[in-house]
Formats: sequence, structure tokens, C-alpha cells
Amino acid sequence: MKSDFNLDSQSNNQIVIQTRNLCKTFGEKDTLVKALDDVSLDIKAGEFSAIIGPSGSGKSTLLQMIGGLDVADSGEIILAGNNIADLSSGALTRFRRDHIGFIFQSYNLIPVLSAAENVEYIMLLQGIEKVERKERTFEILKQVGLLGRENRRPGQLSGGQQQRVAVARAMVSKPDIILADEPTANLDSKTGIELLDMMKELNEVHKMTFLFSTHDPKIMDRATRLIQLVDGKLTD
Amino acid sequence: MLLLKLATRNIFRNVSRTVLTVFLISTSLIALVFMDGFATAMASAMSKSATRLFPGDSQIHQRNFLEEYNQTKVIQVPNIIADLQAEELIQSATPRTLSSGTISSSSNMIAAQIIGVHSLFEPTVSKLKLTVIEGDYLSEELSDNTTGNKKTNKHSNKSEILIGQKMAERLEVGLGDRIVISMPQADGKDFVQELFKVTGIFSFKSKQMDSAMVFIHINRAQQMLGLNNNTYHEIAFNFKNNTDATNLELPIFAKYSNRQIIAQSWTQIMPELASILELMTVSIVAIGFLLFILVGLGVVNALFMSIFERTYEFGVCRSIGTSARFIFVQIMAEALMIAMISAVIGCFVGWCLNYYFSIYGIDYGQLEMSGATLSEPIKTQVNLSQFTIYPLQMILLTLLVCIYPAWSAAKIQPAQALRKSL
Repeated sequence: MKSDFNLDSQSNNQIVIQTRNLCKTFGEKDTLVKALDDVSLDIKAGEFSAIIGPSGSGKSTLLQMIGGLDVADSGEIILAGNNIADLSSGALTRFRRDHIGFIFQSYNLIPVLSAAENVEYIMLLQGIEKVERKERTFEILKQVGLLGRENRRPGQLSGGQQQRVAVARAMVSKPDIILADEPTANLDSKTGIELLDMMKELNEVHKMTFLFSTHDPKIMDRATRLIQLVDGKLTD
Repeated sequence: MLLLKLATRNIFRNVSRTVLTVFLISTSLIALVFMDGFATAMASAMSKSATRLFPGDSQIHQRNFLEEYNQTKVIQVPNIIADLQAEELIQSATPRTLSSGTISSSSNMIAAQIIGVHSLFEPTVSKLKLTVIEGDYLSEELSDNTTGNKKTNKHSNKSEILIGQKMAERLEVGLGDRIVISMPQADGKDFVQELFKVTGIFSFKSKQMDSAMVFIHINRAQQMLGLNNNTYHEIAFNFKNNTDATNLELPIFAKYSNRQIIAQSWTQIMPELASILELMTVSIVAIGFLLFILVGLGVVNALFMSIFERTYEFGVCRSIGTSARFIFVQIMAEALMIAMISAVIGCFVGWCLNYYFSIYGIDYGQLEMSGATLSEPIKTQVNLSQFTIYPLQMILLTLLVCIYPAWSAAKIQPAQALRKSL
């Protein structure tokens, strides 16, 4: 069951992601790096947006901040009206579990679980009944084209297949926001295009909000909005 | 279910590390189980050897006799032997006289302890009769005041003497040879010398006993010491259950103790042996403690390695909504499974070892230790506690030492863990 947060991404034009004057630095004194410098950003529900910029520009840091994985030095992150700084550690974990889906560059599936078990994992944490879990797993694996491979472990799947499992895992709990960190970086061009088309289709069908960090032109071509980040600052 | 699945699969992700960890824990458990079985058997063998070989489980003396060795301090309690033998807990009792003197042969003269023993009762308490390796044990008493037997043996046994193998070598005598005992009477007023014929040679497999003890009939010893027939220096007795001897709370010790006499356990008579046995128990605890520390360090090391390797994975799990508590319980479940597998292996191999040596024993040859001679192979003891308490302690210890690594894994910050590749 989902946690009790006020987050409704189904309403079009509602701002689901809002950052205000977000700042984050790493290191100290001589090694001090400004990863994010006064980033203020609004993302509307159902957007298929991409944060672009060179390596080290702060794209991943911004995604981590929005996902509640890291704490900002200053500024605010408001997800559909909820300031995540107000959430306790446990509440933040539940928030991520129920409302945010992560897709990583290196797929990051649990290696000891099969494709189906990886997809089922979050629903187990959510306490969803077995029958429903099985149905939803079957359905999402069908959507990402992995039926017949559900019992294979990540090591027995190709990179593209693993990333499809990762997408299925991110989407199966029906989150409101999908944060994808360079999801096509480790895939060949053809697989990357297939995956992006699949995500775009899911975005259109399920109206989930997608936010990518990328320098992949394929994503840029499909994104409804491009957000440029240079040296931790948003540019026009 | 998911937890169990994850834990089971995770512990076999790095098979060699898991095998090594299981090997470490189970080997320590095997060592503990075997050591317990061996030490218990060793302690039992030592105490039995020390008490049942000659001294007896417990002894009665006149107070301060053992400290002063004053031979006028005799036990003079009517029917005490019969009373002791009638006690429910007591298996057997025998009277003795103890004196010092010299033994002379035609070739040599040496100092010795001359012990008067009751030829019928003595074998019920000690192994003297069984240690005779040449000749015969002492014949039946000529006139027995202890039992009231007044029959007369057709062969005179007046001059029978049993001497130790080493003493026989030193005196250069053999069976049938004559030797002279010279000793003062109990009151010290007179000195007696009497001729004996070597009728038996014994070997306790103890250098001290075989070279400095001789045994003669108790009535002959009483005559030489100038003591009455119903007076003794020592009454040795065995319990039906030899462990009762160490229970000083038993009323029997108080019953046979008064202002004149005192009944004492072997732990009081041979405190050095009791200390050694106690030391053995302490040693087991100390070695067990060291093993536990080693196991603890090994398990912590293995788990930290495992956690370190999976830091990124834990970061991912935390990112997608796995709670810190779930991670903590997952690590603890992995530790529990490793501990349980190790416990099963450790118990099985430990039982096999203990069982094998409980049948075939470990032969120490003729080891003499703190006055106790281990002449028989030590047969390890198998008992339930070895397979309940030790494995349980090992499992609990493993879980205990895993709390810190598990807590560390649970506290992994997702962003820090992911920063490695993001």
C-alpha cells in the first residue's frame, strides 16, 4: 500500500517537482566544488524532461537531490507540495519507495534475484499481496518485452534487457516520478532507441513524470523539455 | 520469504568466503566440543586414577594426622568400618596404618612408607591387588578384628610383603627374597626390626609409589607399631558415584567428623590435584573465550568484506525504498544462516570425533601427572550440552558480533554509496 503523501501526478499542469535556490558543494577549501549553484526549477506532471550538460555539471547530483538521496546545503525541494526536508529518514524512504522510480546508468539490479523477483521486490516492500504482485509483474514484464526471460538473473541478461528490467522495476509500483540517470549510456544505439521509445510510450500511457540526466542526443530528441546545467547552474 | 531468499542467495554469492567463514566457525565449534569431551574425560580419568588407584575417594583420619604424621593419632571408633560399609552412598571402605621406616636387603637399604592394609577390604577401595605384576597379593587375614573373623589360615602370612617394582630393583631382590623392615613404634619409645619375605611385586606405574611404598598385613603392622587391633591411621572409602566425593555438603562428611576425627574428600587431601583439575576447567573456558574472539573477528571481517563489496548495491536498495531496518535484518539473517550451517557441521564433526575417541580413546602411554597416573587411554565423553550449549553460544556470538556490521550496512547513505558511479 502506498504511503500517505499528497502527490497526484495525474493532474496535468500541476507542478510535481519544484526546487528553490538549491545549493550543494563537495569537498573543502582548495578542493571545494560547487555541484549545484542556486538551482530553481519547476517540472510539471507528465513531462518527459531531460537535464543536459557536460560531465561534472551537476546533473546526477540534481537528480539525487530531487530523489531525496542526498541533502542540499541550502534551498528547498518540494514534490507536489511536500517539502522533503520535512520528512524523517524513514518517511523519506517510504516516499521514495511509493512515489519515485529510479533508473540507473548501470541498471543496478539485485544480482541474486531473477528479473521477475527484481520487479517484485518493491511491491514486496510495499506489502502488496502475492496475487497482485504476480499479476503486475507479469503485466509490466510483458510491456517491456521480457516475458520468457522473467526467471533469468541479471547476469544472464544483456545490458538492454537488464535496463528493461530496471525500467519495469521503476514503474511497477506506479510511482509519480521516474528519475533516470543516463539510462542509455551503457547501451548500444539501437537498444537505447528501443528503450527510449518504450519509456516514452509508458510516459504517454501512464502519464508518469520522467526526468532524465543525459548527454544522449536520442533522449534530447524525444524530450519534451531540455534543462541545461553548466557548472551547477541552470542556463537558458 | 524474500528475506530468506535474499539471505540464502547472498551467502553463496562468494562461495569461497562463505566456505572459509563456515570453516572458521565450525572448526572452532569442533575444537570446543572435542576439547570439552577430552578435558572432561581427562579430569575424570585423573581424579579416578588419583583416587581409585590407591588413596580412595575420601579418607578419615584423626585430626591433624596428615599435617603432623604423628602415629599416635589413631582412629579408634568401634565398628567404624562396618558402619561406613553400611552407608547407602558408600561402595567400600578399608582401614590402613601408615608409618615410615627403612627397608634393608642384603645389598641395599632405603627409606619407605610402610602401609598396613586389610587384604580383603583393600582391593574394594584401591587397585593394589590389580597392580601386582609378580607373585601374589596378600593372603587372607589370619585374625581379623575388623570383621570378627577368627579363622586361621593354614599358611602363615605373617611375613608377607608387597614391594614396588622400582624398590625391588633398588634393593636387588625378587620374589621369595627376605628383607627387613626397621621402624619406630607409634609412640616412638621402641624400635622394631622384623623379617619379611617378598611375596609380591607391584607396579602402580608411578615412580614415587613404586619406589617408596611397601604393603604388609594390617594386623602385623599394628603389632609392630604397638597399636591395638582396632586402631587405624586412615580409613579410605569410595562412593558408589565418584562425583559424590567432591560434594562436601553431603551429610556423610559431617557424620564421620567430630572433635577427634575428620572425613575429607580427595579434593581436600590432594588439593594440588583439585587445583589442576580446576585449572583445566578454567583453561577450557579461557580457550573457549579465545576461540570465540577469533571466531568473532573472523565473522566480522568476512561480513565487513561482504558489506564493503555490496555497498553500492545497498545504496541502490536504499534508493528504491528499502528501509534501513530491512537491510539490518537481511545482514543478520545472512549471519544467522552462516552460523547455523557452521553449527550443524561443527556439531556433526565434533560428535564424530568425540564418539570415535570415546570408543578407541587417546593413549597417553604411562603419563604421570600431579600424582595421577593415566595408565589407560582417555576416552572422550559425549554429552548433550556439547551439542546444545556450545552451538547456541556460537550462534549467539555470531549474531552479536554481526550487529555492528549490519548496523553499518543499514546506515549506508544512498547518495554516498551511489556516488562511486553516478
